[in-house]
Order: sequence, then structure tokens, then C-alpha cells
Amino acid sequence: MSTAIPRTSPIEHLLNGITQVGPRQTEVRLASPWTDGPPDNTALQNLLLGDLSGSTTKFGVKGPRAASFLESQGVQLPADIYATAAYGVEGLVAKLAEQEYILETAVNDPVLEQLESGLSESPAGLLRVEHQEATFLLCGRRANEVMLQVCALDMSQVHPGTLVLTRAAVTSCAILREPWPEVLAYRIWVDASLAEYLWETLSTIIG
Amino acid sequence: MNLRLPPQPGEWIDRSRPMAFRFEGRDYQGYFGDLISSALWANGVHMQGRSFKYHRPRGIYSLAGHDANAVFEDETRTNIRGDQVGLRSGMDLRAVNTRGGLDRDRLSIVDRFSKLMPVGFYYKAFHTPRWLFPRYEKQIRQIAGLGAIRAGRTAQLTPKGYGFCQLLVVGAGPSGLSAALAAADQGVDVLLVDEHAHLGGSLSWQSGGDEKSREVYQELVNLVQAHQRITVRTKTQVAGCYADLWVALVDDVRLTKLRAQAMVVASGVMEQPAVFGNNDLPGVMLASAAQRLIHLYAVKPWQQCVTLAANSDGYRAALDLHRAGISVAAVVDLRDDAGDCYFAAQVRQAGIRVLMGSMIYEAVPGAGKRSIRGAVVCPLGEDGCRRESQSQVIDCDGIAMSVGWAPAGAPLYQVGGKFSYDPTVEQLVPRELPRNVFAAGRVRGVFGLDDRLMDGRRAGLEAAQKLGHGSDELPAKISVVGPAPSHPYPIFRHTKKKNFVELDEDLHFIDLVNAHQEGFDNIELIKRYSTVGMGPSQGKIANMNAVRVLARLNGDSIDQTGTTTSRPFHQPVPFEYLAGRRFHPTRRTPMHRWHQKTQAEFIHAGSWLRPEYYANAGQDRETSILQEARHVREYAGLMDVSTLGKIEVAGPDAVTFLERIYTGRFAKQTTGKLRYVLACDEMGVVIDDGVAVRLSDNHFYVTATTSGAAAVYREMLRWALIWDLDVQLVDVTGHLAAMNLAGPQSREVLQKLTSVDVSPEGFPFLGVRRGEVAGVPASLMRVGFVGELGYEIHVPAGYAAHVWEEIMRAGASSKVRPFGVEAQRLLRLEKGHLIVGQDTDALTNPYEANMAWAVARKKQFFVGQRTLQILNERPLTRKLVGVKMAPGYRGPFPEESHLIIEQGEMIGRVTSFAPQSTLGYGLGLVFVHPDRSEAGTKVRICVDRGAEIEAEIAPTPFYDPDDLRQK
Repeated sequence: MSTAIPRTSPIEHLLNGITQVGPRQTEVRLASPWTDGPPDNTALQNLLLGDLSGSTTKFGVKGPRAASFLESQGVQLPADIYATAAYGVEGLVAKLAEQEYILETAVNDPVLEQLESGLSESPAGLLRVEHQEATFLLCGRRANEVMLQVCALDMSQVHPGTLVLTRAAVTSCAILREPWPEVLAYRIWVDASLAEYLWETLSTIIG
Repeated sequence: MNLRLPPQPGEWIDRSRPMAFRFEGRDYQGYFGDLISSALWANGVHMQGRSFKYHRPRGIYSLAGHDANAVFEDETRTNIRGDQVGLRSGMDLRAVNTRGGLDRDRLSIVDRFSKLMPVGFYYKAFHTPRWLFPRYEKQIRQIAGLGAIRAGRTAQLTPKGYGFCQLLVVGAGPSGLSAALAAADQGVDVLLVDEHAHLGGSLSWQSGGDEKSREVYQELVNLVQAHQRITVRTKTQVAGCYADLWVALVDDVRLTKLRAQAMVVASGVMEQPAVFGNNDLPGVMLASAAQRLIHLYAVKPWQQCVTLAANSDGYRAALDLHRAGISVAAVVDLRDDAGDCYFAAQVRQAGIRVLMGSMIYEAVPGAGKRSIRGAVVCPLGEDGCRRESQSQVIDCDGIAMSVGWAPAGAPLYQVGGKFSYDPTVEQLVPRELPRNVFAAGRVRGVFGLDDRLMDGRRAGLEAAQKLGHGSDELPAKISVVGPAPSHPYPIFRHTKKKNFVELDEDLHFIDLVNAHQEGFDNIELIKRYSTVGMGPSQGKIANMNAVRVLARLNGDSIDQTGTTTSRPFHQPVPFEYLAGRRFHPTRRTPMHRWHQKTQAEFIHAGSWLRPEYYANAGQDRETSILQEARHVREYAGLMDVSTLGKIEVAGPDAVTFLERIYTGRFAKQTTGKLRYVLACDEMGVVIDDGVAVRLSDNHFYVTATTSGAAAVYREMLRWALIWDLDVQLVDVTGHLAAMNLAGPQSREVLQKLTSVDVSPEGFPFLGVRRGEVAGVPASLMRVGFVGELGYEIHVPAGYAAHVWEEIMRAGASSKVRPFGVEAQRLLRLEKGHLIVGQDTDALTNPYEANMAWAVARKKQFFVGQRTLQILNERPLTRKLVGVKMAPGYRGPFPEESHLIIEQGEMIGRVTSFAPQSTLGYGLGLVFVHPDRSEAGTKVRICVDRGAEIEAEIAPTPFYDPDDLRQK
């Protein structure tokens, strides 16, 4: 795909005027209440909701040869289902099923083109899976308070780095408790068509 | 009148924060920390409500939410519990259930006719004649009831939440505090909840001059507050308990759905009233309420009072009253002997008269029954009856009752605990508890302070052990000794009734006797007949006495009599808490924002929002829709069809799988071509349709209807498992957006944006191509749902808005414009294409719907095949056909579901109808009896208001019958 075409976040129109900051190099767009400029570290520790949908992209593959294909492209895979492994500086790889993986990385990561070309001939035993979910980041000391209002699982007890397929605000989501030592953070993947709904719901709860 | 006492040790009010408020139109002042009721009482307002049925004056009774005497409303909220809700500055309150205000309630006259309204009065009086019952019902509903709902009030979004804990300790009295500390010290994370604003439970208000209790209180509270493993939630009720320790916690903000791994219930007891004449009037209250007024809110309950006692707590209350400056005229003890009671000795030492073996026959009412001015006291004979001749009137403006307790055992009952009556304490105590549930303290019949501390510790350690913490050795359970804290029967007949067993529902003692005489001799039956325990307080101060009355009437024991079922919620919970924050997911397509900017009017399609049509200034809805449809026919239109279900089916068994799921054949489908697909259930009912694209030998891409997508995918997953086929399924509905470019100009527009050869030869009808559109990878399909040359373009959702905008830009010179769902429905109707769910129902099979061509009957198997084989042998009972109105017809038009009538019998119904079409006449689809399905047949359709109009059965397609335009 031509990189000249910008990938649009499904909540792009809601982000205008919202503070932007980069806590971990990747750009994070933040919902209010931080409208007076970039938050300091205190605010970051407190509660932030960010959108990574426009700056990241996902690549999914499933099938009997999925693992060997990814490994042949230099991607190190997690061993267990729902486990994740770091990929590059900002990316991650998650094992969704015995024969299914998803990689999320920066939108301009050259590995994407490499992976896509590897699948261009539709090799047997490999199925490319389209992933266009929105990616939100909920982080800070009070992130659990928000999670407890939308999710029936005790996410605070989830092992960092483990992906949980659950429901948030009655929408199906995949939630990853980030293995970041300095801040409590959840990465939330939600169907792009429900992104605006979930963003607004979380924003309302945050206040 | 100011009844505020000097500062009391440990009082809960903050005298530095005075608060002004209004009640029944008058201004008052209270303090932060006051309850509404305590603030009113401090201002001399003793009558705080009217009773439910007889509109009798009522005042503070339990001051613990165990009665519904003081229920208020303001401009926005109703049924505010005065003895539970904290005072807020600026409140403007009035009592509920009055006509003309609390003071001059016109319905107070009902009290005079109470003799005419015995138990079961409604059932007996209004059942005949039946036609009058609605009138009676209306009147009764107007008179009875509590606060009124204000329908126009703006809904408040109340956040609901989930919570989790290892150990939930219910109640922060001495047992609960002790249990929490014991468990936390073992390494258990504890959540300690209490309904009050402060920790301590009865230690906070039941003093009797006992300095030790205050020291214990302070020490426990300090330890709990400093403990890292204990989280405290005050002002939080355990409103309901469910299976697997799912507990509903309600605070003043929200309902929390808590999952606990273990629970210690140290919820204490609820003081029970004595039953005597006028035991409901303002001035008569439970001793614990008077103690709460003194110690927590620094309010003087009365000037002079009589204390009715049947335990040491009554003497302790008398001492508290005495020390607060209230003249205690007498302690009337129902028992002959107070035993070796420290507090009784203290009372005598204080010079307070004690009348042993005596009872209060009635409270002497003051003016308007708004207060009392004395107590009629009689000795009890050996037979337990009063000695009327020896009765005396003791002047007083208050009576404090302390005759016994009932366990606050709702959490234990609700999780499946079993109780039995322990005559040692004259109380129901837990006999069996479910796994990981423990009880401690007074709810278990353990009353002494030291005993409660030990019992709490024992429960905490047991819970910790169950959770895998602590040692194997546990302290023994406390054995109860000494006089029972509760009287076995503190209930006395009165010749003139008004001796209330149930205050919420205005039930006299004699009401229960009469119900029993009428055969309602079972506790569950008498509850429903008399309504005892069915008021807002859920029988907290009524049920135990009702059980005692029934047991005596039946000559049974308390255990034989049993109790009623304790169901959630134990306390009234505002509906707004139950509703919580609204979670109504709405799905939006990537082009939603563009549609909004282009004045789209949206409709809900399942959980999706779709453009119904695009509004044009000065044009009504119908005109806009017709114009969009004409534009597609004449030029080109672009429609957002992202809501279509999209499923990838891949793997060695993909063909086999699809052949079983759908009615058609796929084995010989050419790669790069698409086919119409029809799905049925096992009953042969049409459940969905779409197209299947063959991408490679073992890889298909199928679409489903917007509303059926989720169900189809779910069914596919289910069947794939059942059939154990080697097939991969991926639902990409939300990941791919789709748009339909249709109309004679569509080819020209599309060619500008793609290198794919879209010529008729290069890209024929029902063909599929992969390529880039506007720089974005896309799947292109030649489809013809609207009956024109058309392309469906599927692209990744994150790039769809870009593609859409590029098509609109490229199509500007070709007059491309967007069209909505309604225009599409009209266009497909002109082509005679059905919509599953619109033109089919829950019984429609393919033969009725003219879809026999889509059923490959010679296949080995597909879902619904057997049923369809049987149905194929039977004659049709209805058939889906076209119908049209004569050109120029101006009368009323049919609508969906209008019936087709012949000689008074229904022979069909309308499934879709468009009053206006690009063809110049109204047309639609109808189900009709096969005998009447011949083209040209005239049928009569019953439209609104019973009018009948004539329409003509017509062949479909109405438009382009040779399908030349779409090819």
C-alpha cells in the first residue's frame, strides 16, 4: 500500500484540539481534562486516555504456518496463547490462538511491507487477517477506577503483558495490561466501528 | 425549640459547618453530619411523616433505616429516607403521602375509619361488581403510596462499577473490626463496609457510661485505619447478596457489583419494638434510636421519658438518657428479674424508679396524636396478662423501647444460610452457612463486648484460613451464657387496636389475628394476605414480631413457624443506581463523519447508524429519497454499505463448509467470480443472504446482511466445530469498509481511480477483481442489487474515508452523489429483490419467496435441506409477488404489514411498499395466497382506518425485466 495515504483513526474528528504528548515515543493523543498543554509526569501518572489508532497499524496472520512465517521474518513470538512479546521499540506481538498472531507496530514500520509481500502469493497454510481495530491507551494511577466502571474483570490482577479478550462498556475488546514498570497502563483494541462509542464512554467516565 | 445538646464525645456532627434547609415550607438549621431526621428533631419537629394507610403522625422510630416513618421528597428526588440520608445545605423537603401538607393532611381522616378497613379489606370489598374495580383501583392508587415519580425529570447517569476483594467484612462494629484486623494480619486483603458514616457500629452510640467500650472503639478504629491491607467503605450498604459471593454494594453515588472470595457478616442486630397501644406515635421510639440521637447527633430525644426494658440494653439506654439530662420517670421491665445486671444496679443507684414485671399498655396521645403525654403502665400477672386495676399513668413525652433484637441476617440468608431459633438468646442465629461465608457478633447471638471481639477474631481467622492464610489452629466458637437479650413475646393486646406490629403497612396486632382466623396460618401466606413485611423497610422491625404472633396463634415454636424469604434488595435502592450509566454501543462506519457533514439523516440498523437519506434544503424526506433513486438510475450514486457482514472462509474444507451452510453450490465456482448465497436454518426458514466471492481454491469471502452478520458468523463457528472441518473463519465486518458505486456513470468514475480494467469485457457482471482504488488495496465486485451497473468496493476501514472522498471528487463531473438506505430500498424494490427480514419472516422458506432457483436440491447436504425436501412436496400456502398501484393513483397507500383481504378473510400481507418510484407508480412486494398470485390479479388491501384499496399483482422485476442495465 502506498504510504502516502494516511491511515485515519476512527475517532480522528474527536481529537482536534486535544493535547498531544509522547510518553513512549509513539504519539499519544489525549482526551481532556488536559487541555492546557502537555501534561507533566504527575498528570501522566494520574489518568490519561490516548488514541494510538492513527499512528499504529496491525498485521494479522493465522494458519498452520503462521508461526514459522513470522519467525522467518525475524519476529520473535510469545509461547502462550494471549501472551505478548515486545516487537521493536514500540510494537508488540500477541498470540491470539494456537495458530494465530497479531503484530502491532508503528504505521511506517518497514517490516509491514516485508510481511505483506510474504503473503502476496497466498501461500498455503497462511491466511492474512485484516485488523483495523482502534487502539486506545488508558494509563495512570487511576486507570483501574475507569476499568472497574466498564469491565467485569479485575484487570488489576491480570499479569502484565497478558492479553485479555473481554468486554468493556458491553463491547468486545482485547485489553493488554502493559508491562511498563513506571506507569499502570492498559492498551485497548476495539472494533473500529465501535471506537467512537467507546472513546466517548471512557471520556465521559474520566470526566 | 432547640433540642441540641452540648457537644458529646465522638459526635458525628460538625458544629463548625451549620446548614440551612427547609421542611414543609419552614426554615431550619442543622449541621454537617446530621441526618435529615436528626436535624428536624433538633429543631423540635417530631412529626416527620404520615403513615401509609391511616395517615397517622409518625416520627423518629429506629433512626437506622429500619422504618419508613420519615420519607421525604424535593424538587428532583422522591422517597428520600430521612433517617438514612445526610443533611445537605439548601435542601427543600416535604413529606410524601400527604394531601395539603404534613400538618393539615386531609387524608388523616382515614384513621377514624380504620375499623372499616380490616386486613384483607381490599380483596373483600372491591371484587364485585367487577366493572367498578378500575374506579376503586384508581382511587386507592391516588390515596395510597409514597412519593410520586416526576416523569419529566432529567435522567441522571449514575456510574455503576465492579469491585473485587479477597475478604468482604460486612459491618464495622466491634466484631467486624476485629474480624477485619484478624484476617488482614494474616495477609488477607480486606474490604470493610458499613452503612454508617463512621466506623464503630454500636460502640459509637451504646455507651451507658461504659468507658471501656469507648477505649476499645478508639483502639480498634485506629488499628483498622492504619492497616495497609484493609480498605474501608463507609456509607455503603450491602443491598443484596447472590451466588458465588456476588454482592451488590450501594453507596450514595453508585451500585458496585462486588466479587468477594470470602465474606464475614458482622452486620449486628436490629432493635425490635414492643407492641402496645399507640406504639407508633411521635415520641415512641426504639431505645437505640434515642441513644443514636444523643451520642451521634447531640440531640435531646425528650424532656421526660419512660423506658420499657426486657434486657440490660434497656437499662443502659436509661443511663444514657439520664446522663444526657432527660428525666427518666421509670424503667418498666417486662421481666420479673433483671438478674445480675450491672446497668440495672447503676440505674437504681441513679435514683430511677424501676417497675419489674410490668408492661406499657398504651401511650397516651397528645394533641392531634402528634406527640405523647404519658404512658399507661400495668403490672403483669403470672399469666402474662395485664392487671388493669393496678394501672397507672406516668407523665412523659417519650417512651424508649428496648425489648429485644433480631439479626440483621439478610446477607447470610441471601447467600443460602440457614437460621434456627436459639432460646438461650431468644433470637434466630445462623445454623448453616455456605462455603467461605462466616458470621460473627450479635448477628450470631453473641452480645457481650469481649465475646464479640473474640468472635470477630475467630471469624476473621477462619476466613483467612479458607483463603490460604494463617495457621490451622482456630479459637473455639463463643458459647452464649446469661439472660437473653430479647424478650420472647413483647406483644400485648389492646382493646382499641392501634397497637402496631407493622408500621410501614399500618398493621395492627388484631389484623394478624384476623388473618390467622381466616386460614392464613403459614408465615408466607399471612405475609401476602396482610402485607406484613412488604413495605419499604421489608419488615426489619415487623417480621420477628409477626413470626412470634403467628407461632403463638398456631401453638408452634419459632422454628416450626419459620421466616419469610429474604430477597435482595434488603434496603431500598434508587432505580437510577440500578439503571446505572447507559451502555448502548452504536457502530459507525468510517464515513460517518462525512455523512454527518453532508446532512445525512441517520437510522438505526441493528447497532449500526446508517444514512437513511441526505437532506436537501426545501425538500421533504420522500422527495429527497426519490431524487436520490432517480440520480442513480440516470447518473451514478455512491452508497456506504460498510455495515454488511464480511466473513473470510479459508482452508482445505472451505468449499465443503460453504456447501453445507448455504443452499447453493460452490465446488465449481470460478476463482474471481461471485455468487448469490442463501442460508436457511434447520426448519428451512430463510435466515440470511449475501454473496460469496471465490478468492482462490480454498479461500472465500462472503457477505451477510447488516442485521444478520453476527448471527451468521456465530452459526458458522458453531457448525465448523460440529462438523469438525478444516476451515478458518474470520469476521472482518468492522475491519473492512464497503461502498457501492452504482449507475450508468459508475464505470467511468471508477476507472479514474484504479488501474484495474473495468471495461465490460475486462470486468464482467458478477466478476471480482483485486487492485488499488485511490491508492488503497481494494476488492472490487460487480453486483447489481439496485439494478444498475455497479461496483462494490471493499477497503480497509482505516483508509475508507479517503477512498470515499476520492470517489466523490473523481465523480463530481459525472454527477455522482451519495444515496442512502431508503433510496437503495426503493431501487431494489423496483428490481423485485427481497430483503431478508423485511420481505421474509420467521417462517418463510425459499419456495414461498420465489428463491427456489437458489436451492441446489441435489447437493449431498446443507442446513435445512431435509425440511425443504418435505416442503417441496407440499403445495405452497403463500407466495411473494409484486404488487402495483395504477399510475396516477392518489388515494391512501399500503404500508408494511397491511393485510390483503378477500371476502372478509386475510389472504396475504404487504412486506414492502414504495408509494413513489422512479417508474411513476407505487409498487411493492406482498405475500399472497398462490391462487391470487397471477400477474394482473386485482387484490384489496386494508389500509389505515379500515379503508380498502385496490392493487394489482404484477410481475417482477418492475424495472428492467431483462436485467440489461446491471450487466
